[in-house]
Amino acid sequence: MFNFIFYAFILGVSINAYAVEVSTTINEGINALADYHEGDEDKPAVVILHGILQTKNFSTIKSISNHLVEEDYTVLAPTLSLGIDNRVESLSCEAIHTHSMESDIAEISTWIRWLKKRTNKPIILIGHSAGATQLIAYLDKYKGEIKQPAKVILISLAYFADQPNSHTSSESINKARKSLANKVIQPDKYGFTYCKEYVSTPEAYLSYIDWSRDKVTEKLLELDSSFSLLFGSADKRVDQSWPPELKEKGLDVTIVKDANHFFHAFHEFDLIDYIDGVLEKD
Amino acid sequence: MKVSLKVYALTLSLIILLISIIFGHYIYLQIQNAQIKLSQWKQNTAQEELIKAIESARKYTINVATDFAEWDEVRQQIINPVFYPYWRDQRMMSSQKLPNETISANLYTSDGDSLSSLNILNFPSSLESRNIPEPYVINDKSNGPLIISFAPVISPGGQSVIGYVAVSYPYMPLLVNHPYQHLKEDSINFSLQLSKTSLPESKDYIVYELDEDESSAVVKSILNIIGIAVLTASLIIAILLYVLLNYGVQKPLQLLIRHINMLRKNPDFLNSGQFIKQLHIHELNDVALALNAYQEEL
Repeated sequence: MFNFIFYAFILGVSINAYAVEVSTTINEGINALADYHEGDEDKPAVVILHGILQTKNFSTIKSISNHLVEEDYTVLAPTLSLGIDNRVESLSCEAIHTHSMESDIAEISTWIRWLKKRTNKPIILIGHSAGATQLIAYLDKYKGEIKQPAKVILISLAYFADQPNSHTSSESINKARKSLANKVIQPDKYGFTYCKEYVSTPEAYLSYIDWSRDKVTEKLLELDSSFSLLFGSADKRVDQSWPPELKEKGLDVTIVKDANHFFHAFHEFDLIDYIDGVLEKD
Repeated sequence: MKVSLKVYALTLSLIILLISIIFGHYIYLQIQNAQIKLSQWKQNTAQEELIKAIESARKYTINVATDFAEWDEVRQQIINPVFYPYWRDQRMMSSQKLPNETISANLYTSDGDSLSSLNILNFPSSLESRNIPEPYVINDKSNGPLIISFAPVISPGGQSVIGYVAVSYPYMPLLVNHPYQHLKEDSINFSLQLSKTSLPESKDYIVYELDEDESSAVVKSILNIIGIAVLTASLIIAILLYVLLNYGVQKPLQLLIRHINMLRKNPDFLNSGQFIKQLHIHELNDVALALNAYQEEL
């Protein structure tokens, strides 16, 4: 009898601890995928957004979503389609990128509406790297139209122009601006974050570049959301003078010593502890 | 007709030699027949090996096309082909999603129309009846014979066909790299008449040589040695028989005849001490002794 109860308990936990894959239509012919777990009624719903060109299966995102599913939060972890039907793989830099900041924001909006149809729970947004920037862009775009999320957790928040240790260069930006001025719509190769040759149309490329350090800072201060920012002190993709600067401006900034951009290795525990702390905070 | 024992000996030796030659020739014909059958069997087996190699090439190229069709970016291009020529030119072949040997690839809509009509090389501009065509072979001027294979592009979510891919792959390396037992892989070539044809029919345009089987060459050499040895042995036996009959039987008989003639001419010959000595053949020796005894009694 004890064994039966024990195995039933284990089985029950296992079933509860898995998210199912769901999909929604983004545009004609393009569906996007997400992991979804319907959790405890008393816990809020959490949307977790991956970084640039990644998917919901990216290690940092997977660690967070697995943990929150185990904690029985309602979790939605979408993979932005980036113009690819049912995208399952991270997209190569060399692929043709016709997606833009606007199309990404529209997808985030689609998923949040999808979630709101299924639950009335308060929504918490978690974004990693460029995903964090895109959440700010989403909140900025719909600031008058949507109810502000309960909390917004931004991990390794990135900006696109003047990013340190990136291939984004003033030459690339000028080339794209020149092409746009000449109404060139053909894709070209540009330097972009970790991509040496990011193939995109000038317009789509510049839609990301527009989100500079200054613009991200400005929006963080301007938006009426409860932002919690987590940075690693060993994150080479963020100018290390920026997090203290944000803190000085009154934002809730936490810096984990020696953690990198992805909170790899044992810093994964710091990341999970931090998220738990923010979620449990009233 | 009285015939000398020498003639009998010669005849017998020739008969033995003749029988040996006839038997040897018969065996030779049998071996030759077996060799023809073996060669025919090898030819058939090589043909079967070639058919297997063609089937293996068919499966391989379909797999290449299927793997390619599962690539995210292929779905991206089919759904939004605005920059397809750029993608095809700049991205498709350098993406490592196709094996290095692949010559080219092309994408089609779910209606079977090529996404672009420009520079589609050996690919059809449209696929008939929306069915996936069987792979076929064409003879490309620059790359030689190519297999053109197709696969459907299936939406991972909906399981519906949203388009098709075609890949062109060199035929020769697939045939040459197949493991053969009886077909000499480096002898495989295509006849000049090869034009667009189905894969199974392409075997009629493939020329090849059979692999020289070392063991059969050894067997052939052993059989030659045995043939020569049997012929030589037969010749030696015939000569020995002739010599034996001639010198072992005829000569003692001649000696015996001369002895009898001497006894007839000169009855004192028996006491002359020139009596016939030992004959090597026991029975003839007994005849000589019996004659001597008879002469003495007379």
